[in-house]
Amino acid sequence: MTTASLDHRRIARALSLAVLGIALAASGIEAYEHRYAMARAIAIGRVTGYGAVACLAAALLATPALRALAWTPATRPSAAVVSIYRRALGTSAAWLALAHGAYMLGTYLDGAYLALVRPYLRAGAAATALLAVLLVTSFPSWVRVLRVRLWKDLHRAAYLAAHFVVLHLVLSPFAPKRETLGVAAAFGALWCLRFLPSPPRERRDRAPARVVDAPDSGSAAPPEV
Amino acid sequence: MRTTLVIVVVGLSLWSVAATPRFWAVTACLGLAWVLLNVDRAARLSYAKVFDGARGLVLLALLATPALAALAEHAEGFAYGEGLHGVAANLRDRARLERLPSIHPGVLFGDHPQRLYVAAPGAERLEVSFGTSRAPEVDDLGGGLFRVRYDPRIHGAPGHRRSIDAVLRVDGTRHVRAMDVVAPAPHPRFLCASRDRQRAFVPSEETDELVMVTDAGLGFRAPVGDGPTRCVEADGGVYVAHRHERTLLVLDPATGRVRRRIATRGPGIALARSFDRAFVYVGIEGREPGVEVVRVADATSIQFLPLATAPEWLGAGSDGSVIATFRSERTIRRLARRGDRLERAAENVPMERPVVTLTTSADGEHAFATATDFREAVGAPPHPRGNHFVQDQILVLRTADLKVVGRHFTPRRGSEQDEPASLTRGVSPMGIDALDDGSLLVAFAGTDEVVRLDPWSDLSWLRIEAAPDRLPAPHGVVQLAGGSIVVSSPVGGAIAVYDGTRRKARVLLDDFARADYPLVDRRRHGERVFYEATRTGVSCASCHVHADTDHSVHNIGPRLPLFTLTVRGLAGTAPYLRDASHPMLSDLVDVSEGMLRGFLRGDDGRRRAIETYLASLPRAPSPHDPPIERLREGFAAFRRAGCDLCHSAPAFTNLGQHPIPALFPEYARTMAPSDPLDTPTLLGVHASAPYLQDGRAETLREVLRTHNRSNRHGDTAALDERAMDALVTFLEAL
Repeated sequence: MTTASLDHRRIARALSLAVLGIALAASGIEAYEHRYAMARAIAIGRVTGYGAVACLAAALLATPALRALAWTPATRPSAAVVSIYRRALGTSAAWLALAHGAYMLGTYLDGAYLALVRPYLRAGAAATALLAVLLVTSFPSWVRVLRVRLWKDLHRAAYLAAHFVVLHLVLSPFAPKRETLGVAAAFGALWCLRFLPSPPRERRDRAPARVVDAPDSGSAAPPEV
Repeated sequence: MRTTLVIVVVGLSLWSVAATPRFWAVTACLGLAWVLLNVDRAARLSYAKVFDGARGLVLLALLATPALAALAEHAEGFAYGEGLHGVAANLRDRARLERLPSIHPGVLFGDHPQRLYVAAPGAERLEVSFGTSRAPEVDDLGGGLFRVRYDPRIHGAPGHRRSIDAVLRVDGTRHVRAMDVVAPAPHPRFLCASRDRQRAFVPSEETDELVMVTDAGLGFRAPVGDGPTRCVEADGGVYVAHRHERTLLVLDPATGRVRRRIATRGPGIALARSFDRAFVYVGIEGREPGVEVVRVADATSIQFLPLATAPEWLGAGSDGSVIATFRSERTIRRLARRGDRLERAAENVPMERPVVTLTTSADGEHAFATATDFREAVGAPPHPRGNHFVQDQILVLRTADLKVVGRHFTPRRGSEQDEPASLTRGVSPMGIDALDDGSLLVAFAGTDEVVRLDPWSDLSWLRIEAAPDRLPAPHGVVQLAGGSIVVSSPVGGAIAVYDGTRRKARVLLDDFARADYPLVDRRRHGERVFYEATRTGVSCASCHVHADTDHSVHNIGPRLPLFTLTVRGLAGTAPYLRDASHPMLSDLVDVSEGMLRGFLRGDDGRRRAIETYLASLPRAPSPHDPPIERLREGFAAFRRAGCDLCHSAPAFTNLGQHPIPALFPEYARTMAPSDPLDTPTLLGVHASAPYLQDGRAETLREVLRTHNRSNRHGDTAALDERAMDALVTFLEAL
């Protein structure tokens, strides 16, 4: 592990903590501002939910951005560095999604788990479950314990999670629909950008990245999305 | 990348074996494929190597073909299973409401006064223009909500246009919002005959006119007040009551010239003349419902008898009594006359369903009421099969004591019957004319026929008088002195005069080129579908009486009993029904096609037509008009209680659905917790009691206090009594 990648890892960890801290602070403000329990539940649900969506979108943007920037030598980023930040954003999305799901189950749904069969709740639960799996397989120790070999292919399920997120937003009673359509369009565009061709140089960059970050090598596993 | 492709193809192939059209099933199969490949690699089995190289690509293509075919085949199943069927309609309507400033309803009616609401958060000033001669009045209700009061008679009608651009100037900034236009089309409903039966009269509420017909055809079309509802002839004058103004007009029966205007306590929705023709009784609706007594001799109002609810039909008995029917109470009551005074009498007939129409016999001894009551006998316990069972019938009541002396079921099996129990005749009895010989002329709106019946011999069908081709869903019928029969069809916008079974004359009241306005024809087509009988003998109108609620609770299928909804004011509020099970208005035809075994006739255009018709129905305006300060106070309480989280302005719904436990955890045990509750609009909520999905709350206050124990259906615990009063006042005025 190089010094540079160690620095980026620290920054990424700080970024992840900052995202979660901001979400926590915003939730605290919403809790303070809304005395009515349902209004509070909806407000905090929005903070955690939209936070998760934003982090997931940012994580999904990493690979297309890497591909796009790699075509110009001046802006060519290091794939290893990008994967570090992508992992931080992806894990933040998963933590926020789990917080969102647990909080809404306990408050808005009042523990009525049977209601999860409703399409929009089912989609939300599916997205959270997928992100939880990706979260677990983002830690090298867990990857080793689970003897996961195909972790990189597994992390492509982030696109599947994004699909469920869009479904959740489209059918949710509280998500504004104009913004929801914008989110859907953004995820669609990101998915299309995923097929941008890699420049020849970028392919050379990817080999050391695998060696450095692959779970088998003993370092952290970046979520490849 | 190849490994991911292998996982996807193998996963989809695994899914296609069972092909459950759910996304979770696809996800689970993809997960299983991933696990299999992981095991293959971890255990060094090397089975996955078959997908390597060019031959592997061919194998993948072969595997993918049936999987992709299964996906395509189940595309519709995915849409239904994932709640995506018709979601485009919901997104369209929500996007319209969320495009601020937004205006609702998005429909402008050219025939009656209308209240619209504009949501413009943070705005202080609003001006609205519909492109008519004058701008409508705007009230600022605070919190960025504005009420627009539009009256086509004052501000100018939008004309026969399909849509208009509403211009909203919010704090000086111009915004344009497209609105649909519903232009008035003639709807001649219930006929009345002159004393000598030489003339028949019928008001057209939408076009504000009274039409007179004689044996030879059209006599005159005279303009009257705003929203004429009923007419009655007494002492050489035709009395016309109005829904949108507090005026009783007296017209010359020969010329249609207005002779006199009589001010009434409120809007008139029912009319009857006393048996001695000395009085005219007016059924008044609004904040102070009751019966107003007008003396014919000097055309003066001499008494107002207040009642709990507005009478929908009035008939006069030979002993001076008045028989009144009440839709919301589902009763028939008798009002006794002592001298010139009308009083409430003890007699009443409780019904499970409200009376549809009522008339009295020529000798005033009996009243005939059409109804869809379902019990074996009036007063009997409810039917064991439940009450979503319509039994069209004519009740014969003695006017002296309101005793039910006859009860005759009208539906029959006719020659068009194609299955056992299919009903093809006598569905939805509507207009009745009681003739001097004791027989009845009855117009059946469901089966398009006019039949002469004998109410004294088990309602034997004496003769079919008319099978009105192209005169669908007849509502009114009277026989003239010469034996001709006049039939009115609001659905067709026409009146016909029949001699025996042959049509002598047809009066088409649409006085514009119909070809230029296909929307009007489609709306009429949809109205036809609404009244059209299904094979079970039930039509939409059987329960949604004249597109409103029948104020009854129905146990439809295995679900809990549900209170009948009005179908008015639905435009732009997808999805529909309490459980949001019908994403589009056109899907409501499925209720008739499935549960009610379909229609008797083939018709491919029903879905589009019923959508156009239902979208054109206006919501009943609230009779409550509290001071603007009170409304502001009420809206402030509305926001303080968090009602606007779901009942968001301007439609007072965010068109979202909630699981039952989220709002009413105390009812989650008795109701399926997975069933969703569609957020209903609060516009017109004053007229839709009882409330909540099973009608358990009688009043709005009960909704907010008694049935909100968990305080999750609005933070009503935060409201003191004054704020609660203001909130209820605000809701009643919507």
